[in-house]
Amino acid sequence: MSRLRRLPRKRAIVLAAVAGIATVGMLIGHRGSVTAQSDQQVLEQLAIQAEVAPLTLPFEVLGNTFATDGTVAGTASSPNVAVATSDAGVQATQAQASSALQSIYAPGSPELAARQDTISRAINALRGSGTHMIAAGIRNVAFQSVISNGSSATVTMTFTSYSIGVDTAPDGHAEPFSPQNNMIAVVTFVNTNSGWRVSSTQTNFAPGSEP
Amino acid sequence: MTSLSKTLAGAIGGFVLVSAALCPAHAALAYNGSAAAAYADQWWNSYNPSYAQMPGDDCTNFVSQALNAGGDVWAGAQLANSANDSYWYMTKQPPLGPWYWSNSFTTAGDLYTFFGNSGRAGLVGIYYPPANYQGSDNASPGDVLFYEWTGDGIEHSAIQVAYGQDPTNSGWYGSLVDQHSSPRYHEIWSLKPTNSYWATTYILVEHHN
Repeated sequence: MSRLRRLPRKRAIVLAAVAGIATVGMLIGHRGSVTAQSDQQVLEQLAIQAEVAPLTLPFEVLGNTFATDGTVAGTASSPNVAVATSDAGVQATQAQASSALQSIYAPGSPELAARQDTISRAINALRGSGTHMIAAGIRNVAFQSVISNGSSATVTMTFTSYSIGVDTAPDGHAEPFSPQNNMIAVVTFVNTNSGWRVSSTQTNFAPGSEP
Repeated sequence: MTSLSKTLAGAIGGFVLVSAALCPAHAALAYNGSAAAAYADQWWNSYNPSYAQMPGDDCTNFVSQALNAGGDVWAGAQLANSANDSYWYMTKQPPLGPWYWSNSFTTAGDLYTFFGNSGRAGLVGIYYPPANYQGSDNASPGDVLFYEWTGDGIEHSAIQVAYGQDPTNSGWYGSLVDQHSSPRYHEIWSLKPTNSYWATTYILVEHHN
């Protein structure tokens, strides 16, 4: 197992290390370390997408979904979302969620089936709820470690999940909500014919941040 | 006292101590949901020294204590830990020895399984916060709510204590729960004000028989 990175670490140090590895790689004519760096970025990005999914995929995503640089805290995702209310909207949201999940999780994995079921159920439950969503996602992402042996990998990360919206109570009054929780996640991957895919996630509330 | 009588006395004394450890502190013939709710209201923000404490992971331990206060008696108690979900207990080796418990006493999914195995409580509804603003009208004080956040299995439990207005989040009205980890008093059943995963959460309501 090779440890690709351990955070927190100053960005300058990371860049210097990457530059040094790339230089050494070029000097000795070996691209393994460059591939490893690419794997690291892919794994981190997939980990972010896996953790954003349950927060955003139940909704129609109206804005940007995932930032390109998942390694920078605070910029992981900030999508604008809305509850799908029409038949077409529900169908589009279901299709969008299914497609997104298939690009994240290993094909045929129990995790993929479970996520699809959970989010499909949420989309249907949300319809007619009177909920108006404003935003949902994760922020303050920090990667503790990215470990890979080439065929499987594990990413350990922390982040803050959030969901912002307004409910309509039975008496008609508007009830805003904006919960956020600090989370700890361990995401495991398998290297498939289509590249890295998430095989499982263990996501827990940080102590003191439970609902 | 002869050595034999001393031995007998010691054995009897030991039996009494062990029996005291294994017997529930609040044995009763019928479950009293109001008593369970009153216990939850008393201890929602602190730990009862009569039970082992599990700071940071105390939700089901707290619910089980309330069930015990409501009259639920130990099932299969023993001086050892157990993963058998037909058991439900928390005991202590007398007089100062370590605590022992069943997984069902301290872990939400195991308590849910114990309810099914024992018949002490039964599922009366599955609720989705997005579709149920006020929540479980058929829950009564002393009933237990189990939470599954994102499809990973049951991960949390709380106890229904009242129906009305959430005193912390005044706009919310419906079934109210007490819980540990995090400690909350008369919180709205859905936990929506504090749960960013509310959209994928579903809640199983178990009515105590």
